[in-house]
Amino acid sequence: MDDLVCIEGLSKVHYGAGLLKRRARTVRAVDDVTLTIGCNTIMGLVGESGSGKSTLARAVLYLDRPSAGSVEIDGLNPAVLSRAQMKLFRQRAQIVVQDPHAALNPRRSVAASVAEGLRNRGVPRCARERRVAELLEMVGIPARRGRDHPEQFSGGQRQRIVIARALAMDPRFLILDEPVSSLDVSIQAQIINLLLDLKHQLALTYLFISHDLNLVAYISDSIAVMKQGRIVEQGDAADVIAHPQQAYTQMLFQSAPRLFDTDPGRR
Amino acid sequence: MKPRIATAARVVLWCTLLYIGTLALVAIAAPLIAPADPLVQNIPARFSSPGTAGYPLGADDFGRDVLSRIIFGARAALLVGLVSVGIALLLGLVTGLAAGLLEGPVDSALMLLMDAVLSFPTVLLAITVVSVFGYGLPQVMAAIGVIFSPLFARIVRAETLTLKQEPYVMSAHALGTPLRRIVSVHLLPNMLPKIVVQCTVTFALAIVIEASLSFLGLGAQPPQPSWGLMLRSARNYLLDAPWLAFYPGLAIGLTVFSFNLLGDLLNELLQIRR
Amino acid sequence: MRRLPFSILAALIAASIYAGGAPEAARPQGDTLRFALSGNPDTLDPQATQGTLTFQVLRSVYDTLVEPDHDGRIVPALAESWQVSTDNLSWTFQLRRGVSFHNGDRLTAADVAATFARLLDPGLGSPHAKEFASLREIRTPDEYTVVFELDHPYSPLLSSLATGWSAILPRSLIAAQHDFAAHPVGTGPFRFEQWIRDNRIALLRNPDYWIPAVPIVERVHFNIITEVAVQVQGVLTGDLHIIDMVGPTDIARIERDPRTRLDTGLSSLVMVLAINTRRDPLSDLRLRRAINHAVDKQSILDVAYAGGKVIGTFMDYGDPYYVDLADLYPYNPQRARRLVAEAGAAMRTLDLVLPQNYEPHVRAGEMYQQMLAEVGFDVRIRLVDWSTWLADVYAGGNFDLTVIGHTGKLDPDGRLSMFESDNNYVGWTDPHAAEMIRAARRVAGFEERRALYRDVLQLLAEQVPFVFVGSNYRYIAMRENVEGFHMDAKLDTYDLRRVRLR
Repeated sequence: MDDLVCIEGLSKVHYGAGLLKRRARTVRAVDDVTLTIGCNTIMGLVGESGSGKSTLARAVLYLDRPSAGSVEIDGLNPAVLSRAQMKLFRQRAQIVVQDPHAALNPRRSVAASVAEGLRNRGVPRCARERRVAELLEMVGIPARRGRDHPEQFSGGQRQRIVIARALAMDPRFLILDEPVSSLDVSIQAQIINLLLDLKHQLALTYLFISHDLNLVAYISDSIAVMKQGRIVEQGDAADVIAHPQQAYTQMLFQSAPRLFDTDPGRR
Repeated sequence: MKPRIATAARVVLWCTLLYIGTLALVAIAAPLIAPADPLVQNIPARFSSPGTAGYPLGADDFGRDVLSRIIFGARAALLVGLVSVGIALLLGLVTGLAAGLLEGPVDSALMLLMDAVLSFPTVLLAITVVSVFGYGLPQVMAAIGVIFSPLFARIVRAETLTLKQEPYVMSAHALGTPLRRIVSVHLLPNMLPKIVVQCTVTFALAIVIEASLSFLGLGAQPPQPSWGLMLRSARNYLLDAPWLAFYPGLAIGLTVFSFNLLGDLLNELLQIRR
Repeated sequence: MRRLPFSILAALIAASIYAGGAPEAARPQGDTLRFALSGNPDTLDPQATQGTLTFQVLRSVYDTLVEPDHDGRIVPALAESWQVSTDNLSWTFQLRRGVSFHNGDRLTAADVAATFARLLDPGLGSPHAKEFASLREIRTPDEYTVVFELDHPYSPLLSSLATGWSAILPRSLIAAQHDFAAHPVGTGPFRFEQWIRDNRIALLRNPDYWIPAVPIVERVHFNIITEVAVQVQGVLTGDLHIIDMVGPTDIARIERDPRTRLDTGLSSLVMVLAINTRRDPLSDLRLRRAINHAVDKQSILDVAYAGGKVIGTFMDYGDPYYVDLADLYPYNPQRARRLVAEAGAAMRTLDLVLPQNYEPHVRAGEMYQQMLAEVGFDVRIRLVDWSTWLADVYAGGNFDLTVIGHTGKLDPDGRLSMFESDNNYVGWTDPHAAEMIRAARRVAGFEERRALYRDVLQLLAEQVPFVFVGSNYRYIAMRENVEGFHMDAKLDTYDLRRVRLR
């Protein structure tokens, strides 16, 4: 299996603000992370809150410029890309964020939000409208509701819209940052099923960030464990769950309520 | 989601809007509405008391119609409010966005500058500016605009810093939306409520400062009808012709009160909405 | 004579603008005259200042060789009599005998000589030295005779000798480098007692004054009160006997109150609308005349200056050299419009500059604007602060029209010498007028000088570099028990010698 995503030695250091105290408060939020994610696979990224998962996600997508290291997604390294090539990078890799309430601009119709990426890609207006309708239907939202504003949708519906917005870019790689953690359990299952369906249909690759180990165990092909900005353990999902090498990993899995067998179900 | 505020507040809000709307109409249509030319003197009629034929609100020390001068004075007041708030808003937006988006040393330097401007007593600073650049309404408007720009800059900066962290702004970034569009589509519309509230409050302040400076003789220049200037000449006749001070005083008071009230109500409205 | 011509107006008017503060609690004292002084004098050295406040105090401490009487004529004071030589070059004064200074010195010719030697000493840098530029030497043939020898005839000398800065100082103290600025010593009706800065200046009766039975009151306290409201309150409550700051709205209150009385007189100010004759189209005499006819002068005086008298000339009404030209340009808008049409000049917007801090002038300016608009002039008002007015308008000539009041001068030369050339702010001169101004300086006789000045004033009025509007009333309020008070409008000083408190 080819690797789609190669992350090598990635670090992100946060500097303290202010003119005077610049040196005083530097935090190594992501420290020398090296990961590879295979094409059309799901990598689960677990760790306690504050372990640097979201920071890693932002750095990988170059939403925040990493302090060191390199990223290559589908052969594109944003550090050396021109403006035009950067547009291509933005198409290949997208993100679905945790809080569906805040993920959509409250002042715009959901159709406008979904169309944002298309617009950035220079898709003409009529084609854009057609595509938005398709995307909404694809995630299970009736196209006629495109005119409505986010406040008129439930949390699960909003998450579907957020996914549609990401898909508008025709990405190959999606970072799913806690995509279901703020939803009801029944809704969670629907969204997870939608994501798995989409992966299948569109040959997507996911980096699935969650603190829900059972969920990660359920959908991941491989798992990386993050602690204080570092990857402390990574490998095949079944191996990591069955034979955690690190005390930290063991602790994580022991403290989680068991819903699934240690042998994760595969799709 | 309709905001739920008390009926009383709703009534007050409509009264306020009605007053401001009327004032704006009066200012625009001043030449059509005013019963007399606000500049024409009629010495024999000087100090006519309110109710005298042809002088519903009395006549001033040159025999000019007080009502017409109040009506034309609304123009000066609203013009000063609009222009100075416009200048303050524009400067505040530019500096606030620059500080909020660039962060780091640029942010620190810009905010230091804004704090320095804010730390001066407003009216004193306005007097200083006007003394240097000359008397007159244009100078006053520019001075007020510059002096109040930090108020806007601070709000815009704080909102920019907050909104930048909103997931939808991050998503827009990931979608490759250019900065200019992120600002115009995601940042500005979402900070608009706070800016509008600040605008109404600043509008009221600007009117007060214009009146103060005109009262001191530094703002509007005679014979231009301005409420502050009317108060200035009225203070010589407080005992003999109190209406000369009463009506422009009332106009200033009502207008400032209305804009402040509007600001408060809007603030409340938007808070409930959040 | 180069005193800023507007200083009096500044005090009169600027003071009336602001109000506030609390009345000073003064204890009633037997036979102490309490007089409100509108500011703290910069110095009490008569030779070192141009400040009016100084002379208002020192008039009671010092005497001069000659002084103006109540009609403005120059009469003997420390000099009993004087003669002028036929060539007008030597002025001989006979001193009064038996006059003594407050320190006990007897007044002699040597004191007079020492006084003017001090005034002309470049080390002192007196602002009045140039008034005595014509002086070649002062001779003292005997103890009681002083002769002023001049280089060239200079008639204004007599008036200069009557003004406060020609006060006679004792020679012994001049020699001892006495500090006259803090402790004045003269021959005047009152002796200096103390000066508490920003509070009061106290004077004590001089029992040896050279006029018998004068002065009458035992003490004079000049209470320094800068706020008009405090002064008015003071005279209404009886804490003060005489005040010289009365706002237009206080007039009725003071007149109504039976315990107070208002002394109303014409000030020596001549209120003008000055016209820059250098600039087109105002260089056209017809337009200047149109402006003059367009102005309703009585209305301006009543509304802007709280009352006054139309005079139509550059000489105040009470002046011996006054010429009645009030009817030369009567208010006549039709004639004004005709003159404007006749001139047919390309009319532009005229720049009317007003000194922002003198509200009466600003108010007058608003009225001029309206009156001129009615006859076809387009006038725009520009307000400037006082220093800008002095630099830009008075010195720089950067204006079309401006409004100001010219203060009185004891000698007509003081007002008129500026028209000897066109180097004045309105840019007006006339060869004939210039010749007469020079001639009047060389002749000494009052009638001869009067004839010369009459022609100058006539020319000045006809040619309209100014619209001469008139003089305003000045108001002094006093308790009804004050008698014998006299204000010299021209010098803006007070004669307290015959004041009595009933």
